[in-house]
Amino acid sequence: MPNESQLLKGILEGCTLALLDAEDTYGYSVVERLQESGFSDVREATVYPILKRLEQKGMLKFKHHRSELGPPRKVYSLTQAGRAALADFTGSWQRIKSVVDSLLVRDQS
Amino acid sequence: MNRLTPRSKTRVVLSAAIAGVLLVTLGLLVVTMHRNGTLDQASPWLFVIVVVLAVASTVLVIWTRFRRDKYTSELAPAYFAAYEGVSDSLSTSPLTWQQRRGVLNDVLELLYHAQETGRPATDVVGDDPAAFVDRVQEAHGYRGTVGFQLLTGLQTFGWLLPLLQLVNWMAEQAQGSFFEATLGISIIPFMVLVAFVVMPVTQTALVHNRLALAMAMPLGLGILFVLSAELARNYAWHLPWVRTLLDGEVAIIGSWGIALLWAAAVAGATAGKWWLRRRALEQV
Repeated sequence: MPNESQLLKGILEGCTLALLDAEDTYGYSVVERLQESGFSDVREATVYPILKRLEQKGMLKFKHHRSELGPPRKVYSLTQAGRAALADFTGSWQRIKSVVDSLLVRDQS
Repeated sequence: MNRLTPRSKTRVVLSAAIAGVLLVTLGLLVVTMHRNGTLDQASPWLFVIVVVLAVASTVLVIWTRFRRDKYTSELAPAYFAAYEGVSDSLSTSPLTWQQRRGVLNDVLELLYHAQETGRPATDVVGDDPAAFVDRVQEAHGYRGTVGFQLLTGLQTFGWLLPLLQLVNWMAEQAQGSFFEATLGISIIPFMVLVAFVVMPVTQTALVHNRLALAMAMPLGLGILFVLSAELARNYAWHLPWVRTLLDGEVAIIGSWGIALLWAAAVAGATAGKWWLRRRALEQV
């Protein structure tokens, strides 16, 4: 499927917001949870720019935690704007899902 | 105290050498002015600023390199190479110093975690660190549009000309007012080319590892500029505007009013870039 990566990009943004709505966490932990949820091909190289974009849009904020190795680590959490964006994504996803599902069912029957 | 990598040692030595040359030059200037009896006319704060800047910049380089090497000391070679790849690409990116530092710290955290969990460094930065940095830049709203490049050129031009006037003023041993220091008129079109053509093209060439173009561009423009000036001097000297362009002098920042307008233009360009970034972020 040639456009799978483009489709994934938008979906991953929404899924990242959903994961961080459930729990504040580290960047690498977001990647691990996405992989555990079934996005097994997703890597940090894809997720980090998404986290950065959400942060720049004011949808994420972060706190620094001390680290044994390297600089302080970032723990990401959602802002109000992030929660609003997640609500938008959820609504859009439900609408798209129902349309696509109905088309797929029609094609199969 | 942790040890410095060879690259860090080079940076520290280079920065100390530049600061040393600057201080020696300043010392020679002071001695010359003392001999000429003009030292009393120069502003002492100017010398203090140069000394403080030279020392502070060297201390800053030493501190940042030690801090960086301390943080990366536990990275295995493959992960360290990935980190250096990102760092190199970031050094020529339009991100601010603070944004670059934030990205490097994030990448370091991800690389340490990949190392701990036995996954390759390419999971974090992909196969091409430059492409990864391109995506990170885009995530910050930097999309390299014509408007963005023009505003960057305006910012550069806005810094370069007052800086040149300052250098000329200092070369005149800081006698008289800064606003009276003049620049050759020919330097203005040259700086327009530097700010709007040479710097963006060189930066793009460096990001994409096209070193030959990055080296040839400034050198080529310099040669072209001198050549065209000499041709004009030999074949078009009878034209008044050529004489004015080649030998005319002007005080660009000639008063406080112009200085304020100049600062407002640079601030406007910065605000324009911020607005373009916000708009780009809304579109992705």
